[in-house]
Amino acid sequence: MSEMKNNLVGTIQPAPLTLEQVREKLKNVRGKKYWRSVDELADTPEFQAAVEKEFPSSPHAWGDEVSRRGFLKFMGASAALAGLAGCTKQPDEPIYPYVKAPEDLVLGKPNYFATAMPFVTGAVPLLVKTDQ
Amino acid sequence: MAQIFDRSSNALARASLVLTGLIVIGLGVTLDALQRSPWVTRQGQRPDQPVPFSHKHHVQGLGLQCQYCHVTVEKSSYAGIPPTKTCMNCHAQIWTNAQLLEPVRESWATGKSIPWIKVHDLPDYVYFSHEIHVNKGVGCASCHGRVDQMPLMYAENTLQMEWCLNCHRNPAKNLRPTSEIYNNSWEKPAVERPVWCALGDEKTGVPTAQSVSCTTQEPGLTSYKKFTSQDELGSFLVDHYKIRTPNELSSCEVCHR
Repeated sequence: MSEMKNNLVGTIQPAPLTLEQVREKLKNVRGKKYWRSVDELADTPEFQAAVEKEFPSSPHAWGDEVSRRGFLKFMGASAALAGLAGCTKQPDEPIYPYVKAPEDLVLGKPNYFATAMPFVTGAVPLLVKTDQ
Repeated sequence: MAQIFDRSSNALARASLVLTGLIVIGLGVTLDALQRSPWVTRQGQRPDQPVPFSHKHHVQGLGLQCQYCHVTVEKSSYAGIPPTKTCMNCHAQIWTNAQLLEPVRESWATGKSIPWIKVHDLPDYVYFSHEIHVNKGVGCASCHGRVDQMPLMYAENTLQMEWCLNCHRNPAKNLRPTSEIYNNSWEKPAVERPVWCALGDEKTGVPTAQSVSCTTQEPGLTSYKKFTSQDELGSFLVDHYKIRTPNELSSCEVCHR
């Protein structure tokens, strides 16, 4: 698959057009006729294939190894088995207790400190709450 | 055109229908049994701890009270795991060279925690508070088993939702006087083991249970009521400890907040 892609996109040779050939191609063209690159003017089969790959002219079958049906099968199976992820046991959980516990600390309850903050009008009294 | 399937296929088709059903049922039963097995719940399993701490030795042997180490059990949702300092209170003096206590001394010297393995581990989506249980008459041993008889700590109960609800639907059968919370060998009252309880004044700012006083010794006072069965005592305590109704207690948001 990836090899094919490289052939299509990666290796378009610059169109070997001489001025003579360009004149020949445009000989019967009248009015406004634009092209965006010499490649487009040369219109080689490789270039057409590359354009078709990038801008498909019509929708075509899913060109992946996994077909649409295969994809739906996998998705269905994974949706059906998603609940199984809950059927595991919890991993061992460590506890890291204090070496020296702070005084007055009750784990699970917030700690309050009375303090003050300097402000232009003077010290603002604060009650600070800390959660572990 | 010849028959593709001969007559025996009928039996095969029926058998496969029955078999499919059996396999589905079998799978369900197996998964159910697995979910309740000690392999998943860790019930009765003793994980390898950094120090093989024996509750039996410290509680039954030496008579340490639960709260000497689990200090916040009445005040917080966590009972509290003691800091290394608590171990060193004694082990700076005794068994100072014991090989088993090396992790404790190392923790003390380096300032790093002793990494214990949690034995009672509730899922993170479960709200649980020791405080309310202990203050409303659920004893340590009611959930943790006879910790004073466990050389190595293990979970006595599954701690699965089924087990929680079992009590929340009828708390009366597990309640005890709050004065007996830390008594690991408490037994339900019986005719030969009566309990007397008396109602006191309702106090404010303290746990409700403190307005009830109970004793296992004959008080000889008429204000005390005698209980000779768990049913009587349980329903009395439910009333006076102001335990919420089973309907409220088994509501989802009680545990899943």
